[in-house]
Amino acid sequence: MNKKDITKTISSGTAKDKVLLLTEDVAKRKSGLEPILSEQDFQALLSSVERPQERRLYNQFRKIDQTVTTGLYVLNQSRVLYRMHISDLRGYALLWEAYQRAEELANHILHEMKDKAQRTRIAKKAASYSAFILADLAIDEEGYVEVNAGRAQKADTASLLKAIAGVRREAEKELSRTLGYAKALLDYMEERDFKVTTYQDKVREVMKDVQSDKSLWPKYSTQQKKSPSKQGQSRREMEREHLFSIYPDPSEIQMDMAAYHHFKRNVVGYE
Amino acid sequence: MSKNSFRKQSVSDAASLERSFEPALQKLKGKNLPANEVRAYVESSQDFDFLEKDYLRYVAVRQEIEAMRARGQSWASIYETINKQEMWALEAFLDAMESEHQVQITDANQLAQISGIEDKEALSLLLTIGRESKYLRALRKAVEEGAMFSDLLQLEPSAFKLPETWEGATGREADKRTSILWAIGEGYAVSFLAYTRVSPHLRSIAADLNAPYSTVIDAFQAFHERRRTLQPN
Repeated sequence: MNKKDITKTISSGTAKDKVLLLTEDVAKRKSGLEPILSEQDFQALLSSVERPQERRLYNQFRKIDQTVTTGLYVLNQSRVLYRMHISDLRGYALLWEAYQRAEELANHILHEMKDKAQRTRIAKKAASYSAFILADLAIDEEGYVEVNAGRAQKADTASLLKAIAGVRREAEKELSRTLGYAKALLDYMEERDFKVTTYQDKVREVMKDVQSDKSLWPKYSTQQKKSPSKQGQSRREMEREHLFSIYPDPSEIQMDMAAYHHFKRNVVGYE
Repeated sequence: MSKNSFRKQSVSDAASLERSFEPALQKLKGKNLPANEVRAYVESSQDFDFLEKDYLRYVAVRQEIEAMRARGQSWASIYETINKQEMWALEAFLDAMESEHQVQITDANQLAQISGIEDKEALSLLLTIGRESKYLRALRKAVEEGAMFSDLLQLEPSAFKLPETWEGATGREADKRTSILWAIGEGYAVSFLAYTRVSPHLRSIAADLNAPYSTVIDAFQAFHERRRTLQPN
């Protein structure tokens, strides 16, 4: 908004124009963004909100502003929880990748031994000194090391793949909840005609963030493998890659309606 | 396309391999481009996948060669213009010659007689690499289309007019096994964007191909060795 428009709003704007401009400015300040109004203009605009109905509207917007601020806090908490699960998945992906590379490195060395019996003996000996968290270390029928992420070494321990599946489920739930909260907050603002773009943008930014693919590498992504690449158009790629698709696919996650109603009732329900 | 949809017949010899690329070829023909613009279009186009592009490069070079022949250029002078590092270029040269003279060339002597080129060693390489280019493309296409390891073993070099062993594009002795290993390594590691930054899991590939794990290790070792020596198809 340019200086001319600001001056015009102060001198002859409607109550709603004035209150919206004030609230937008406050929203920017709260968000650490560049304010729209100078201190002088802010004071001038605030002083111009003097008639009782203007003050009433201003006070009403202040209350909504506080509620939206609380709503944004709760929404961000949900986003952080989702990102925390993603962080765990990234850790597991790195662990799994490291296991695959360790297995490969050992087996390239074992491959130099053409005698299967000797290879098996050496592999067994090496494996007896080692253990992999959440994975089973075995020797296959050809005498090579196998780090099996789908099987734990101890019966009472979860396997890496089971742990990944558990975290993925939690991540999907949280993503669904975040989307429900975001929609509820947008609807709340819409219903109250509280069209403060700074807050609306913040909510949309959260939605955009959680709806983007979070995998570090395409190998472990679910979403990126949905459409075949230009380099290999057949479906074989997707079938093969399915095993490694460990991240939630945001395009398939619907918002949690229970979370939506909970948010509207309990988070922004009191003004 | 599922794993089980692979049909050996679609790539079992040069003619069926050619037919399998017919849709891509028709798409290209629909553009009505002059021969000298085809190659640039293929390289920049987003309409074709990796293997289709490989085939269409061959088509483009062959069209260029045929256009040069139509202008009365000799085989020897055309040979000087083609890039000997490009397997598909040698393949196109050989096919254009066989097609024009309606013969199946069997050795370097026959090739020398028709082309007027005297370097027998180079001609011998042209003959095998030209054939090998098709065979490797067939194996790559088979991998792409879901072939199992046992399917790959059924694709015979002889169906592509190759002997049991030959001196391959790497300069080393090649045969059915080395070619299959190359196709597995190339097919899994290069074609797939999923592996742009991390390597594939060899044990999963063995399971996917129903191949011995040791074969997949061989395939990836051969793949890395080969890529050190040349940039093939």
